Amino acid sequence: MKLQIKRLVVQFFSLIAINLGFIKQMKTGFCYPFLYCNSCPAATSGCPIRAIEKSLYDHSFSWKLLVYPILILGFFGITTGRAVCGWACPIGLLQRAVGKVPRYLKKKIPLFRRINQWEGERFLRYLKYVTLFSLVIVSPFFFGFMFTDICPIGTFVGTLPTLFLNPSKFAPNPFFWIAIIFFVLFFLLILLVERGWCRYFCPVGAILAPFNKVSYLSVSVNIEGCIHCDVCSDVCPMGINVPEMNRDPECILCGKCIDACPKKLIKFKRS
Amino acid sequence: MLVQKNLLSLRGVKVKKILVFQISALLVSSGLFLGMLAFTDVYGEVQNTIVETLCLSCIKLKSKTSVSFTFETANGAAHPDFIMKNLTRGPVFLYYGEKACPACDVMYPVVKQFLHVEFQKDKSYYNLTSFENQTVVYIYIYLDDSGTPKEWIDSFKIYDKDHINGLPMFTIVTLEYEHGGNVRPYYATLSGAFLDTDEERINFLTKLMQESFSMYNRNKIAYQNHH
Repeated sequence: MKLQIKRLVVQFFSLIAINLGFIKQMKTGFCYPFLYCNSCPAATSGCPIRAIEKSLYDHSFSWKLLVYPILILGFFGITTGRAVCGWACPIGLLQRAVGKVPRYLKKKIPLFRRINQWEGERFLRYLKYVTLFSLVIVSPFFFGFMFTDICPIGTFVGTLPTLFLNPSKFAPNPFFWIAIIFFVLFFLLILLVERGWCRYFCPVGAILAPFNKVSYLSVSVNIEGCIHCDVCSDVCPMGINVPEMNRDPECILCGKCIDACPKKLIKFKRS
Repeated sequence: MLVQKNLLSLRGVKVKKILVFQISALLVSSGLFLGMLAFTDVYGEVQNTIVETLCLSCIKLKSKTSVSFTFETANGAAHPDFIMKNLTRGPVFLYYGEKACPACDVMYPVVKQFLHVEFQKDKSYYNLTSFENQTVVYIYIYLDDSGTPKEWIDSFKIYDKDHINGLPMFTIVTLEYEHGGNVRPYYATLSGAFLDTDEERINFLTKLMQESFSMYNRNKIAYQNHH
């Protein structure tokens, strides 16, 4: 079976597994190792970001709720780096599903090509660390929830399904429309930039990214035989310069470059 | 040749170092994780207060404010003993809250003002208070307080009439005569930060409490004779 088909099967089963919460016994006390909302009517586990925010809410500190999701993320991070983003995250699957749109735009419209090739784009990737630090860690401690209030994933899989499944029980509160604006912006982003959410804003991605440097599983490039055709960089959904990457924090180990390399110089590497 | 050999051996040392680091980190993280599962209540805390309950304000929703009284509990379980006992004193007002729930923070001063009670936001609390010179049993159930009796926490599912699972939640338990011939607990539940201003909320709760008292006063003697 081709690697990308395998990945699709894994993503599909992951999507089913994390949405078994409609069976009451499947509502567990674990945290997801990716960003998915526990308010989703079918969620089986908690959002790691919600646990972190809750641990620090309103000048408090609950070490258990802080350490618990970090240990779960740490376990996956040490073993596979950011592979959960590429292989298990349902928002990753959504971005994969719409990925052809930004790719098409990049190919057909010069402006998009220029935006994607813009030198400063790599600095935008630090925004996810800023999001993590300011909205997930600092803001709940001093001011209250901010990431939760604007989280487009929460709106997409939590708010909207809850509202549509129970229109007689719930009504939007005044913040609903602000959340909808962020949700629309999120959709625009992933339609304009391939994996735009993972690249620039995902706070779970920001926690997992540094683990790529030390993870057991990584992608390795045998640069000696490289013919610099750049096919690998071209197919990379995260916009990485693949031949020069050395355990790049942005790599989601999707394996597209492995499939694409005409010389078969790119491989998954253990240790 | 020698340089290349040295480089390879250095690379080998680096690879070994990273492998040792990976194995140690894996052992530490999985050990700590299993330790937390075994020796702390974090699994239950995440399950009860994050996965199984909805923070309504977090998902930018509010419950629709229509209140109706019912005899039937939400999960079919019997009314808890602490409710049955306290109903001999007066209607019971239950307020369920949790940590990191902005709507709970909105309703906290409303409840304080409405029932003239002073209590800490992060500690479960029981008090006999008064409403229009009549006794009300006030019970604040803070789901994140480890000192909260289990019976109190379990009552959340008993009184979540519309299966909203949302916090904050308010329940007023009073007494009413059932057609079968018994006086039984009769309750209404509200979820979320309902209505728009504190004044509207207090007026709404006042009307609800007056209705509860009119039922309670009609039926209390029959109930007290049996309990």
